Amino acid sequence: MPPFRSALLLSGATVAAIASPVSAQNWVPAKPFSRGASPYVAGDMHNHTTCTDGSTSTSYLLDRSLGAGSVNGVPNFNLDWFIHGNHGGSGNRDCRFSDTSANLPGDTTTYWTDTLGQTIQGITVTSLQGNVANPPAARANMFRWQSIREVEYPIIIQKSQQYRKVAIEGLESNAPGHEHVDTAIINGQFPASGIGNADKQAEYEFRFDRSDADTIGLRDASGNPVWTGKNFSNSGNAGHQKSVQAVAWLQANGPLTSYYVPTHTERAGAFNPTGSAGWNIEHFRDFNNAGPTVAFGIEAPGHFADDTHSYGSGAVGGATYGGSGIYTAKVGGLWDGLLGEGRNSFIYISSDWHNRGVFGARDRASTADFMPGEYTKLYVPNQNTFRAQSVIDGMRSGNSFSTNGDLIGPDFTFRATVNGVTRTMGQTLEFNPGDTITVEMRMVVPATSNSPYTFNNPLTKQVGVFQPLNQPKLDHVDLITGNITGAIQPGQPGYAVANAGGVAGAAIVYNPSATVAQTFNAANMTATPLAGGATRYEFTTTFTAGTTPFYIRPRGTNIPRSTPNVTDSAGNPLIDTLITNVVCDDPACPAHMPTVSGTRRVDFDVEAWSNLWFYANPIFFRPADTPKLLVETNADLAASLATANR
Amino acid sequence: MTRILSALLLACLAGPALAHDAYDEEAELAECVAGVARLREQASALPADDLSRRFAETDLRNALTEAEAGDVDECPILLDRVEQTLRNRPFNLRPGETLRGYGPDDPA
Repeated sequence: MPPFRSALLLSGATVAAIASPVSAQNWVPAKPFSRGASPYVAGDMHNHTTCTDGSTSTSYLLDRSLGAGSVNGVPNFNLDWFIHGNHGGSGNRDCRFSDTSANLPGDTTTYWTDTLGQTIQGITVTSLQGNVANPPAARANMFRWQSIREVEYPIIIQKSQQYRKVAIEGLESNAPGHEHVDTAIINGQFPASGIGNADKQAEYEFRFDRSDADTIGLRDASGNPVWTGKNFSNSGNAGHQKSVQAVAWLQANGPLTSYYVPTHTERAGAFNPTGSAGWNIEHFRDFNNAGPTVAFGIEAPGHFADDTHSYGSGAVGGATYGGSGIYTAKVGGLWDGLLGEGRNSFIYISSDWHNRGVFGARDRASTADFMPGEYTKLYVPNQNTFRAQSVIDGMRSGNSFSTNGDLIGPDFTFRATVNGVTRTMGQTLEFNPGDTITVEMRMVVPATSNSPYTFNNPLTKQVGVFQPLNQPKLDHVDLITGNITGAIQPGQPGYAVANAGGVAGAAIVYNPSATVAQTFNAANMTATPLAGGATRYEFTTTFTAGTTPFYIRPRGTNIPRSTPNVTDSAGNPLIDTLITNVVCDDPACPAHMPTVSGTRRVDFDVEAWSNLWFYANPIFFRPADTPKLLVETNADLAASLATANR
Repeated sequence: MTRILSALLLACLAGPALAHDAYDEEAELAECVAGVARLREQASALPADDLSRRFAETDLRNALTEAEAGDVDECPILLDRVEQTLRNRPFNLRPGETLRGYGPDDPA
């Protein structure tokens, strides 16, 4: 067995050894809300370590994500909050160590069977539990429910205390009948006093992750299984029903303390009734029906430095569009279909960090992923006392937006006012026909991003716009509207919609009323230079209320409309496979760009830093004295549950 | 590694014409492992300093890492990409170029 190594000191941060078990999260957050503080705080909920298929240890990942400043020129990304959304199933590597491929000094691939009985970072794993042979074979796998309980959670809590920031143990579950879903249940993780645990998260993983083949799970002191009644129907329609049961379980056990957010939802193609693949709209409806306060949205793909963002040609839509899947990128697509029912269905974006492709963890370039906070930020409202619960409350509320490449920062306002009443994202405004609806938006574009490249954006250069890749520039904001026709009930026409993998899936329209209603060029907004080179952009516009409910959702980008290979004349992102048509001919264009027909082309991280988008969640509108929308009734349910819990 | 050995045995017994009438995670794992082995052999035929070989081997390593962690969902995508990389060899260094990066011997 390899000797004990001081993995903590090799992670780039100086930390004390982790004491296990750890004390509760009873500290005051380092960013108390005060006048002038950012209204939103940035985080990430989808990321991986060597406990599954990532490349870095848990400690290293949290140090880089939550730490500030830099260590020997290697930047940390200073997120305000963090959810560790690592795969379910099992893994054979000890995530107290990074993989050799990460190129971290002294940190090489280490297996659970190498370290049994050793105390590392204050944690001692004595055996592999569940259906594992005793003694285990070399490089045997540990089931994820065990690594969640015994390894990840203690490290997460220690890092949370070290950085005085919210850090949560979550999961990217392999969903029965489908692909992957970001989920977390924070019950037990943050007790008011005493020692916390992630047992409920571990139980969820054991019961509902289709890659967790364990039949035993946690045992009590007498050796009897604690989590009984596991359903092993994991594929096709039966698998989908198990996923619905998973949502119902979260709704029953953590209606306000959990979430269920399917991720990279187009990637595995259309739903497969005999396998485990993608998702159709009826599945998201099923989840929201079963979990009205936990199944409240979907997540766009991560892997932003990957040349296909991990989407193959069989993905619904055939690839990504401006870095997003077709469900969110298409006006009138699946997301608009859900919003067209008035559902609380919101969009989030995270990193899906695994590794940097051909580069090591400390490098600035990447041909695969960015670290949490490096490129993508998911914003939720700041609170006077920001806690783990605040993250889930913020996500559930819909008062959330996500941005790539720091196109906009945390000082963001999107609100609407009718008859003196103002509402923001996720909320609903009542109107009378003919009322004037005033919509205001304010955003701050920072002076610089984390891009290591300073040469001009090769995508915008095509249309004579010169943007250094490390200086984000807002081109325009679209306000997209869509009519709300009410929730479709299961079994009714239109509840299930035939889906298709590949580019055929891009043609499916779920909400034909959705349209880019208004567009605002940054050049025409009120621009205010700020300290440090940032710029605040503001605009105000009006809509005249009709007679039917509707919603307004914004998106923004640095890419002008009709940019060849990037956007169409309406400003919609084109399929990202076209971007390799764009030549990267700046002398500073990095060597890892592919060559096609003798010229280097835009791809990987250069594509990511060139093609920036933000997506904000909608404000809903309905005529006064009409029945509440589903988004309202589900918010009312959450409020009543919160009141009942006090 | 136990899962990989089981999958290799299954792949050897079943051969390349393994049928998929129903979802079978072990069969997909075996297919992934076999695909990685096949393409790794192809990649090794390229010069050691060939940049396309480096890209291909990175994808193959990641495919195997994910398979060992029980996630074979992305394997077909990665294998397809490797095939394209080995066929088209789009990655190359111009004279004097290197892919700079931190190595394991660079101080923390």
